[in-house]
Amino acid sequence: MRPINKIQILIGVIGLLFGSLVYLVDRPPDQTYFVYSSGVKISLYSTFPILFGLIGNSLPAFIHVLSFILITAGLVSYQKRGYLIICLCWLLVDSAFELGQKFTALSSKMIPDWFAGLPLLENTEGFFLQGTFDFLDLAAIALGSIIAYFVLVATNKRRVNV
Amino acid sequence: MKKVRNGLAKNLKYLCLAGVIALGLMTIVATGGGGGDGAQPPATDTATVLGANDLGMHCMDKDFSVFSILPPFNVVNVQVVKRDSNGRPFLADDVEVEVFYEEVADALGSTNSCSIGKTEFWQYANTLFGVILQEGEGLTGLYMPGDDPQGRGPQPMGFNIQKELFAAEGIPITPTDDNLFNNPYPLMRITAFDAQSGQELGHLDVVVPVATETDCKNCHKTGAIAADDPGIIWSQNPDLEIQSKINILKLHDADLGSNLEVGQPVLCAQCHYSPALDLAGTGPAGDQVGKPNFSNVMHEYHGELDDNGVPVFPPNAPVDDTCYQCHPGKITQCQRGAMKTGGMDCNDCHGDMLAVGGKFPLLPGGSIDGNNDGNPRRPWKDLPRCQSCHTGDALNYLSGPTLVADPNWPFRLRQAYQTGDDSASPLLASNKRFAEDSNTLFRFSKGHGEIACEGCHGSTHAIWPNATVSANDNKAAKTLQGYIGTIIECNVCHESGSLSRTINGPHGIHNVNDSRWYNDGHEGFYENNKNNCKACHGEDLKGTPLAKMPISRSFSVEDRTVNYAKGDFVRCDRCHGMPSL
Repeated sequence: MRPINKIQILIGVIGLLFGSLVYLVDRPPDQTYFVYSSGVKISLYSTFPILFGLIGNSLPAFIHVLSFILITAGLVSYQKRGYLIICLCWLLVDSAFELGQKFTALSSKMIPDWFAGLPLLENTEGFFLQGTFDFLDLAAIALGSIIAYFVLVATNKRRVNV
Repeated sequence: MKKVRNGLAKNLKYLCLAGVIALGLMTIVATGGGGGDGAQPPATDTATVLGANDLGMHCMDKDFSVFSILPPFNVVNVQVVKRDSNGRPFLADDVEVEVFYEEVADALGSTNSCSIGKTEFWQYANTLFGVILQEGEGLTGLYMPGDDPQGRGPQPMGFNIQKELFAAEGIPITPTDDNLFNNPYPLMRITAFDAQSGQELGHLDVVVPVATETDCKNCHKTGAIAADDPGIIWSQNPDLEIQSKINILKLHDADLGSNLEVGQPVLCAQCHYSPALDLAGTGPAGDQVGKPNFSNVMHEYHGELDDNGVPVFPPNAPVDDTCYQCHPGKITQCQRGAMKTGGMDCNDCHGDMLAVGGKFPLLPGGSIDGNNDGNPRRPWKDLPRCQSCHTGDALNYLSGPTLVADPNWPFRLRQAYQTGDDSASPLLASNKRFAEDSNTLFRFSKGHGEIACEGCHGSTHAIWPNATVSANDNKAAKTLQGYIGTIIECNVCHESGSLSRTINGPHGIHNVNDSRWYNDGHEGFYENNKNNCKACHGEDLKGTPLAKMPISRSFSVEDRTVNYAKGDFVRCDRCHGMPSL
């Protein structure tokens, strides 16, 4: 049994928290599902000035793929081959969601009706239909995947089976 | 033992992995919802000025020597939408901007810069209102630009923290312009300046409506229906306005044993409470306690009058014969704008005089905040709501045998209350698409980033557009978006292209005139939730008034040009075949 890589998971979680700042500070609360549906006033949009400026547009895409590669790898893998597979998987997943915002007819057909009544999943439609496809987001996802791979390699420690 | 532990740990790890993957997918979705990751808008530092008079009309007395109902007192509310360095719109306060009002000529050259010399209000203000005012000074200390004793010209507007907007409450404007012609719809220019640099950020010309057309003389001039009792010595004053007013005091004294004629000038609200003059909102006090309020005595008393059994103000008579006998008026036509164009009159929203006077108890839900249901309506408070007629969209709206629905578009009613309801209790819609803020009148309501409803729709009683294209009422909307009517163009406040595709605009509207809707495909929206489209474009997708083209436009769709004329309903088959319903 391989132990988890706490460093990788920690970096991933910190990345996620950092990325959420984009939505909390730089974007109006009524435009982000988890902010407006949280039930409490967590948005800092009106409180703080813009934090990320232009890079705030694609930063979430970059951080999301990076963080989840690190967390996933931290849980299950310590080999470069495993890292590669994880990086590729998340690259494909995140890219697919981004492309779903371009091909809205296709993506919206794939959303099952029962999503509509479930918290969070109910926003799937909104994500595809109201989100805007951006090539820079695709580039950010690719960059995030590549950087994640190198972070994984750098933080990899040969672990001993328990 | 070690094997068992390993198995448990392994299972736990796979569980965690599944959780992480699920979380990863969900966090993608959870961060969507309209914000989009589109192109950042260009950096700008300009501002949009939105503004409107609060009521659509402020009446004032033509003469103050006998009695007074209303002083010169007008209100303009203003919001300034600035855009930050990233192009995001935000509402500026008095730290960011300074706002001023000043006279401006309308298209006919009518300018109204001052009030001194146009009314005798200041001669009687102290006696009537118990305040010592300088000539030209309004009850709240505001001046017309030309009357300012400091000679400042443009007058500053204060920022009302409670309302979160700039407000000039109490401008003592009269309907007499600087050439001494009557103009009940004078324009005032509202200008916003950067509070630090003093640089002008933007301006807007808004109507400050005021009228003195309160035709008491129609009934109260000597010899008329209300001044023909031979037992009373009626006034012979040659000025019919003064003659009528004196006759009203005589009648009051004769009927109620008061002694008003010797106490001129009289403030009616001295005894009959009027929220319009209760600036502090403290309620009846002093002589007002125990007496019916002013709205009640005016509407109910007059509404019950008959002449040999024939009502003087028949409930279903034209407004010229009822409301416009006292409210301005046959000439002024203060009820104007989209509702008037649509064929509504005062009664359709407010009910008849007895209903307005509060003769009948309100039905459940009839009072604005629910606190007065079952009681007579409170003047200036329990008033018709937008949602009383705009009860929903094409799919979800109020219906019933007692409702007066538009025969073509049943989601719109043509009467704000149920037929047979003597109290004319305003209806409450279950679909809140077009509802005001809860428990709040339209004129106080806000939405879409705290923008005042009146900022985009115009004043109560003067909802944009005014059917007379050249009317001063239309100037603000035309300035803001290039054409008259409700402000619906996103780029009035938002940088062009800065918004993602959305149906989260005001009342659920999508981005207007945005090529991403007609070029980049909207079939996904339709296929995924057909009702989102049908709500406004109709169940048959052939368009409704909710999807009306505000101005003639051409669209380049699939290598051909599709032309829409102003007023056309946007429907699917103008560009492509009808989708399956």
